[in-house]
Amino acid sequence: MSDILLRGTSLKKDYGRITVLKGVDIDVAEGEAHVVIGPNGAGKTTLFKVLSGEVFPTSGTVSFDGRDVTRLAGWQRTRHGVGRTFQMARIFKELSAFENLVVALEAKKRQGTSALELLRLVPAASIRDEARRILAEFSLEHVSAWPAGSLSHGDKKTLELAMVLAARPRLLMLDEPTAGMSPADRQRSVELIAGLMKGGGLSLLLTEHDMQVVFGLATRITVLNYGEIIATGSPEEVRSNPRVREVYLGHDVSAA
Amino acid sequence: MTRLSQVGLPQFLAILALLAGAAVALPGIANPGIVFLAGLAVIEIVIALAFNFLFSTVGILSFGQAAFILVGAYGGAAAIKFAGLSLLPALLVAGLVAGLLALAIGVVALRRVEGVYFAVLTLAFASLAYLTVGKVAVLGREDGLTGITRPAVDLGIVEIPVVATTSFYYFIVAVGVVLTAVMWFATNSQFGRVLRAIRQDQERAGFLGVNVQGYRLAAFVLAGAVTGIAGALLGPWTQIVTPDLGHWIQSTKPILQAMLGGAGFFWGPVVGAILFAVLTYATRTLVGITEIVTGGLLLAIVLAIPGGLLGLTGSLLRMIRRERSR
Repeated sequence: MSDILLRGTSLKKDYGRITVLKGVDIDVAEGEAHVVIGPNGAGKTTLFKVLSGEVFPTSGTVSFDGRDVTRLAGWQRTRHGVGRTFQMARIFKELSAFENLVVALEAKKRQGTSALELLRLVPAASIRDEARRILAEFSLEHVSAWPAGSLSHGDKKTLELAMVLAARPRLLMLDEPTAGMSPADRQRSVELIAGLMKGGGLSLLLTEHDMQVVFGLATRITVLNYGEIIATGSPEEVRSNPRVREVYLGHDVSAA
Repeated sequence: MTRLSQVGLPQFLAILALLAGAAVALPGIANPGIVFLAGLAVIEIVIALAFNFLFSTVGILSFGQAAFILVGAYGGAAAIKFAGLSLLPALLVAGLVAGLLALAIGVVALRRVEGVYFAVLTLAFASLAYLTVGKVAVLGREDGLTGITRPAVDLGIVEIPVVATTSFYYFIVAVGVVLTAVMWFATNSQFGRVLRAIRQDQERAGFLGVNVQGYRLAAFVLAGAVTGIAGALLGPWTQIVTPDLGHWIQSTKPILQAMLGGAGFFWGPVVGAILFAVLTYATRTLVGITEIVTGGLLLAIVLAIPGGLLGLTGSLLRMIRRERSR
């Protein structure tokens, strides 16, 4: 279980003259749920982008499963087994929830079979069945035929998660999975994600603001502040780290 | 068949058969002048369908489709005039040349820029092609290539002569039907599903493992090749190709036709191109004000009904249905 799946080494990212990441070392071991926290502007989302391939680091390397992926684009990393969601759920708004899943499943299937799949008019029966099964699993059957853009905020996030999982990633990267959710939806999401982890074969890297979610899911926590890591360790270690309390957590921790 | 009806295949085939039937019946009831214009209209339909495929399915606004008409027309004409190729290989050459040009433009422009910037770049490339072709001696400079013949259609076992105007008109209709089917297939197959997904959210598509730039490039090349093949029909039909086929006006036509008919519909550009042809014919005697009449009408329709004619028809039908159900 201690094998390192994702490793970022000395990651630096400049946007013009502003340095957002100042040499970050971070890794995700297989099977762990690693949560990155930090105040707004700490560079969490930039770190996410660099690790997932949305942007390339100014310097430093990213490796996945022992392979250097620093210069691989996001879609290539996805094919190696990285799945990610966005802070604002990104889905195909004009397609129905069902079609969203079909697109995700077909994208996965094409990687294993010939490009002739592209000539199919109707999605294969196996794809349609799988899409329906996933919709049911995530309690989205009732919105199956709705344009995804008309779904509630929570359902959009759930749909996005379902699409990402359809590709059967080994590493799941979630950028603030419960942002903007109601407390009830938030609780449901935590249970959902915890359930996924129980299934095994999945590792998690997520950023989150809500401390209840953080401590509910994390097996390891890393604290980012102004582009630098100031602490990393088990939830207990981080909770009792005086520097962390001073810089960021404050009374949030005692409340949690 | 219930499955195929979900993607609208039977409906598509029915409409295509209806349109093809009407086109085939035309020479029996109309004079040769109208048949000539109808041949041009079929070519414009294909060009407009290819434009709208890029615009509405892929989300690429190309303002330089004239470049592909131009190189397709010259490629086909040169293949016939200089290489003595028969008709189908000549069309293939045209598709290849236009496809390669689209590949070159796409590699340079698609990766770097989006939206309006891409449109301006394609306009620049098309202007470059237009000016270049007008200066090449072997292509007849500004006079173009004249006296382009109509070689036979060689199907291996039989050779079909299409020298007569009506025969060549049927050939244009046949090619138009095939290319329309190609565009429909590209729009509604899994390939089209991926492209629609990309149009709606490139990042999401990419993080599902889709090579977004690869698909956009492939779609741009396909539309370029189809436009080039349609352009290659122009030479043998009008017996002449000139650099004017690459004038930017030729790039605006498919845009206007798509908007006129309804860019959100597969058949929108077809409706638009047909109406455009009818308007041109109806105002042909009004020397000098043809452009004003067509331009004004287009402006009115585009401003008043953004969904185009098909969009308007759709809302009217819904309104009638609602009235009835009351």
